Amino acid sequence: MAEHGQKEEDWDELISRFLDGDVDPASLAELESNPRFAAELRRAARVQQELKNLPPSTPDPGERLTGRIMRALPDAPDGTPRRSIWSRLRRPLAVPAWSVALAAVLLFAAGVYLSRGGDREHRAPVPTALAPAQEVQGASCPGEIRVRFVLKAPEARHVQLVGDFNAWSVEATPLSDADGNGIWTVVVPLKAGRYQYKFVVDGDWTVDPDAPAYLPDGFGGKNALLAI
Amino acid sequence: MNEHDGNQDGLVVAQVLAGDRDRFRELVERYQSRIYGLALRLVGNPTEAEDLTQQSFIEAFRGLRSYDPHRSFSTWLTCIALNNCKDHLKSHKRRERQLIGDVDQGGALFTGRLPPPDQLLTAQERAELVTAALMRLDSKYRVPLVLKDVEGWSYNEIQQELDLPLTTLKIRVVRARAKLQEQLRPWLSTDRKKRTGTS
Repeated sequence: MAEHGQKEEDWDELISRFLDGDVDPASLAELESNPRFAAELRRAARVQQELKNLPPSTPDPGERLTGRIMRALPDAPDGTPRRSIWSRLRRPLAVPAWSVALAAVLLFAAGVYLSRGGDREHRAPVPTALAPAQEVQGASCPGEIRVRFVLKAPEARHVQLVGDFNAWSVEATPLSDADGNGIWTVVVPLKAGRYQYKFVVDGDWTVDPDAPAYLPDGFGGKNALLAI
Repeated sequence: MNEHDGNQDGLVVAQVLAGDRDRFRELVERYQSRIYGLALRLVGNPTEAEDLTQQSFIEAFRGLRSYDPHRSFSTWLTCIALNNCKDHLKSHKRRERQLIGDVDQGGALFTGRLPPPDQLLTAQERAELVTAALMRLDSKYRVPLVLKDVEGWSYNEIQQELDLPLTTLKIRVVRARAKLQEQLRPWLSTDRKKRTGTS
């Protein structure tokens, strides 16, 4: 390497090479015999050292940022299969306190109504074939209302109903499509109240697209909400 | 670039992928400061640096299944953060030019609460000074310099991430170092004299 005899405008490149450890010691010794070059070299080395010494972050955002990141994370990495029912049940649903209070009030009111001998079947079924959850006529236990759940899923092979009324069991409440027209139904006797539910279509947890209302499911998605 | 983090990070990643979402907090706590520091040095704004840090961790979490456990997690995460910072800088290029101007044009090098050159600097003041000088550099110089001299990446690693010819990259680092040194010259000379007791 012929470093000596370099013009001053080339010093920057030489100094940079020195900082990268790319100048052989013999050439460096010759270069450093020039006092001005040696001074430039020392300054450059100091700047590089200051860069290396920079603290990771100033100030460290700490727990505030950690909490913010954790709250913003999605439910699971992309491509994660749905959690098992038991995993889901271990985590509390992100339902606001006011909705729990409202549900309690509604349940209480429904209880009072039913205890006064209210006619459980006086309401006509919702007049649409695809209404997701309809009260239906028929025998049921005291205090219960028969509700038909309906889902149009022509390509499905298996459809299950899961909700807080069956402990989110993916096996307890299968829907059937007896005539093969893609309309899956099941009738479930329920007491008056508010219920959250989903369908499981061939293993995929699916939100009822025709539900009258929804609540956050605590996993970044939503549950259908049924009030009877 | 950073050394491989051993099996510890890989173990945490495996547990997160197995459904233990909250274990991801360990990775956030371990690398948050580093990622925030990188973002802060590249974009210069604490609020934007926090947003980019959050965005980078979310992207890492979402893409955790694409992470190769044979590779360093911190390197993988840093690359995600770097890409986010690059995109951010690209979208803010015009604004950055307006704010920073061109240091080649001379004039006041610093504005704000920097210590006067005749004052002996504390370590924190020196860090603030160097950070401020970094932010005066155009991002095309600042990004490779930060990766080379602050983060300790090799030229080959930077070349791959920035997609630049090696010669161009080295020239930018040369220019970045020279510009930075030029900006810090008043403080370097005075501080050295004070330390050595020379006049």
